[in-house]
Amino acid sequence: MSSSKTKKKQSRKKKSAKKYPLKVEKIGKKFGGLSAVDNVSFSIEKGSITGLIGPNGAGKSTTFDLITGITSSDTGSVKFNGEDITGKRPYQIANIGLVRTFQITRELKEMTVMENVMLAPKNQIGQQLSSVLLSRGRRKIENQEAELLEKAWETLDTFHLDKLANEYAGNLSGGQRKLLEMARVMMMDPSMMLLDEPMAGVNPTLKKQIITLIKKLSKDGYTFLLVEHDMDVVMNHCNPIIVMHNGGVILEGTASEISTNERVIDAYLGGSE
Amino acid sequence: MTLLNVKNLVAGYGDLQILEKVNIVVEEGEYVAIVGPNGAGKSTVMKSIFGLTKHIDGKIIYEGSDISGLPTEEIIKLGISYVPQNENVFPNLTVRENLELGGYIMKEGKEKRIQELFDQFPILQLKENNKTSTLSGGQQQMVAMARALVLNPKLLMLDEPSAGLAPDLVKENFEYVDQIREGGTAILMVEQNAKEALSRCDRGYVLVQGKDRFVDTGEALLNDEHVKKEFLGG
Repeated sequence: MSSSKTKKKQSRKKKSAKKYPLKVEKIGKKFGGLSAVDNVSFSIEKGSITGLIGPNGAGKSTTFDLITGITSSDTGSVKFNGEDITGKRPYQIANIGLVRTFQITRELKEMTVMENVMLAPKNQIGQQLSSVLLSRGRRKIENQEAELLEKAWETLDTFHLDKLANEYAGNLSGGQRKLLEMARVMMMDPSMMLLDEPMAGVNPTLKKQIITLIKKLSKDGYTFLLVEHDMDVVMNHCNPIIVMHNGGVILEGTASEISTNERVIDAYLGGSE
Repeated sequence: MTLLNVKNLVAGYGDLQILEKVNIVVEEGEYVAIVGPNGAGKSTVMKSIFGLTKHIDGKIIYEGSDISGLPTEEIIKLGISYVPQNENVFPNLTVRENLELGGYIMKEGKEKRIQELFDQFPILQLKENNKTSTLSGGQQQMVAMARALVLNPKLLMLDEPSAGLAPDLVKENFEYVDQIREGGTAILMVEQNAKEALSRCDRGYVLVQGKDRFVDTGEALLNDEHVKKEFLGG
């Protein structure tokens, strides 16, 4: 292959990585003899709010685990912004802008709500010994902290947690922990977020506000992949929607394609209402 | 007849006060739903009735006597069962073992009662010797409910039974609750799927910042413009 051709091919590849920041190719994982995820492939478009749905036990959360390096996959590869991230550690993946939330929340219970969100942002200057020791460095730390603090207050306000800033995270209700988890992810400012059932246990009115926020961020170019059982959210706000069943992807399409597909109705949506 | 009458209940955890004067009534065999914003204190109401919070003030009258301050092991003997939101089964035990633990304090008739529950939830009998962690989310929720029903309670408290369930299972789960209620058990339920809960219950409460703000039939709450806008997402 001539060098100009190679160049062309590379630039095309880059373009497609730009349009589809996340590419999952034929990933699989077995636990014991059981295939939890089997030969799953999909690409997620930049700025989209893609829904990942399917029955309990279909392999949705395991797929998230495989993408974000929580669990290592047996087969296949995951690319993020053109970079192969298969086998990378969760913190390495988070550092390049791909972050997830968990279905069962993982807040630091003995720290306050504010401390929890302030811990999230990466590259804090105060983490470097040299900047702690030098007076110029200390000023930088103070400036950065002030900026982060402002952002933290905004974020807590968005998720209705501002009044609880000084409360221990362990004292929050189940729904509030869910919100804190999302607030922490937002503070990291990742370019792509994988949200595992973000709306479960969230009050309907607040749910609406969170959807508005997600939609606004997606317009600004942030990309979302969400596992969600709330069909109101999925059918009205996710496009496309990927359906998993028994560890595999059975369909990808728009809300109207999904909701009229016999297999999806049988496997997941249940009888007509 | 009134089964449960929570009067001006003030409760919390440690130094944290969550409930400020909550009033909730459940009649015998009644189906009551509590809805409201996150952190309003909905789960705390149930935990308080079950003796799991710090009781600060107010009364919890159950079948005519005040049970506030009683330890949980005494409360459960009186016919109140509770299914928490998370961690509500023993994942490493089999389905049958979970139900046996649910009937731990029963002196006799445990086997018969478990068989009755298997008849009611046939899928559980098929899986009776499987580790509960290998069951699907919907089935685990069923195990949790069945475990709470072993003692044949007069009042069953359910904390967000539909959270995390696929849509077909949400419907199925609500239908199971209807079925339990038809058997004469009173239900006190906290749900964020407020529309479904309010359309099925007899009465609903909207709890806001540790206080009961609205109470009415489920249908009336569903049609109340203010409640709709503020708490049901419009």
